[in-house]
Amino acid sequence: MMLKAEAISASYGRVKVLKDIDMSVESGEIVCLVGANGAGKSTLLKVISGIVPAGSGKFLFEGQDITNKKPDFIVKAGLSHVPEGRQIFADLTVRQNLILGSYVHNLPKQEMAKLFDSVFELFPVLKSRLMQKAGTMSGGEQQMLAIGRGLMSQPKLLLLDEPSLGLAPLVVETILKVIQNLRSTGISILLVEQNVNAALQISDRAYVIETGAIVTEGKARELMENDEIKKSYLGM
Amino acid sequence: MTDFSHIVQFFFSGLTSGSMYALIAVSLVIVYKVSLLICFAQGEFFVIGALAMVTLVSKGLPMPLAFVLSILISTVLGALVQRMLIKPIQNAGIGNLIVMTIAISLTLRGAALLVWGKESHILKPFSSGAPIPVLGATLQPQVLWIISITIVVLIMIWIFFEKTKLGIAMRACAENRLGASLMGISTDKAALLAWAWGSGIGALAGMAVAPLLFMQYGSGVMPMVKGFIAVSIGGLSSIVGSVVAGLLLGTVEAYTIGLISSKFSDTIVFSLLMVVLIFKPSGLFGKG
Ligand SMILES: Nc1ncnc2c1ncn2[C@@H]1O[C@H](COP(=O)(O)OP(=O)(O)O)[C@@H](O)[C@H]1O
Ligand SMILES: [Mg+2]
Repeated sequence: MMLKAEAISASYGRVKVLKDIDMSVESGEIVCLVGANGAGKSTLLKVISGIVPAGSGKFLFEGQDITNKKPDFIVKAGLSHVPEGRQIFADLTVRQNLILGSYVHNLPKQEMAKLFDSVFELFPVLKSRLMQKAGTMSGGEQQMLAIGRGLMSQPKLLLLDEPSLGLAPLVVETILKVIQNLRSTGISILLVEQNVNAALQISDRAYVIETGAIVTEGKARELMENDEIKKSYLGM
Repeated sequence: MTDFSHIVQFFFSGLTSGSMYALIAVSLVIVYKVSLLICFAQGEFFVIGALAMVTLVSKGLPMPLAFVLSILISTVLGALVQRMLIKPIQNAGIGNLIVMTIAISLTLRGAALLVWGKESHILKPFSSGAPIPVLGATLQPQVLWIISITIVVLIMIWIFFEKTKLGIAMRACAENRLGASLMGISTDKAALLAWAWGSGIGALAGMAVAPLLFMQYGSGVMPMVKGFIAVSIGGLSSIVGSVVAGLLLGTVEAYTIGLISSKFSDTIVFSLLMVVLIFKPSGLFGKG
């Protein structure tokens, strides 16, 4: 078991945003989190990565309790969160952004070079942009940088929050392919996507979240046939 | 009337006060970049650094040791202030935070009055040696120290914020808190470091100019105001901008005092500020 959430709840002030969430990601899986805007998907990812505190419940990461640990502890443990809206450092160069991706590890130069190479293998375009300020790149390139930066911490589990938002179809395709590639290298993935159809195509399992609670879960293929899901999320 | 040697002399005094303003401005920018807060106590670190060095030297410590210790004292003081007074109210809103830095400024000034009294202190120059004649003007060896220190500090800052992982991480905190947190960067630690750096550099400015000024507990007020003006002209988060503006300010001031009258120097400096703020509110090197 990669990640297990047990009865997680969370609030912003007095507003309860997550209620009793139980979910899990198995090792080597792509798991998709589906839900309308404001359902609490981003919040769940933020609680996992230690940005927003969990009010109650428990997260186990490879059996280790990571509930309400500091983000640096969680990144070090092997969990990397590529946030909604990318949150790259626009004023820093692409290279500096990537360096910060492995901030929690003190890696020797050689190891860093290897990591850089593995990111360039996935996103060749970043190699030619190394010395460019990140903010001057296109949206697609920035998303690639955000994922590349997330990979620089050598995660076992990658949380991806709407990686295809606002991108051209061709770029979306590239990113979905990369996600599949990553899984084949042994990285587990928890994916939040508005593009539900495409996300379910590449996922093993999915959870449907409505106003902070999980209402449906199952194999991705089965959910694609589910009439309720078809109507609400696949526009059929 | 003035001749060429005077023009050169004014240039030297402009460079001297300009370097001082630039250093203070840089210390303000470093804190601002990470905490989004102008620290109005920077003038007190300027004074405390200088007076600490005066005391240590008078106790018989060798200059280099007194120099290093004074920087250390101010750096630790800055870090303590951040931890004990700023961090506990960091979410209380920008207004409260600014008021807090003003309160810290006045408290530190009072503390300096208790420790060093009302009288002025003078530090002996970093090196002995006669003034150097240059093109008919004279250059104090201490001015060379001030300029060298400014250059070394600027190079160190550049290397730190461009080349070291920690420095880059601090910039990342300033730019995108959420992104930085997700990388495992502690924004608390970044703010602490920024204050430590900022107070150390503020102190350094005071120590460097102390041999040329009479330094007493209240001597930090005008340099702080000028440093703040430099930052406003240069752009709040631009180190380059604040250095350029600091030097510009010092030079304009020196020529105004020399060629017109010391009575007009503040008028001209503040007019310059107003012109910049009207035509480029974000400062010469600021964004937006
Ligand atoms: N920082 C915040 N402070 C207060 N409320 C928030 C904050 N972030 C999100 N919310 C609220 O929490 C709910 C869930 O938001 P979010 O997790 O971003 O949903 P999703 O990612 O599924 O669109 C929404 O009602 C949103 O308005
Ligand atoms: Mg979201």
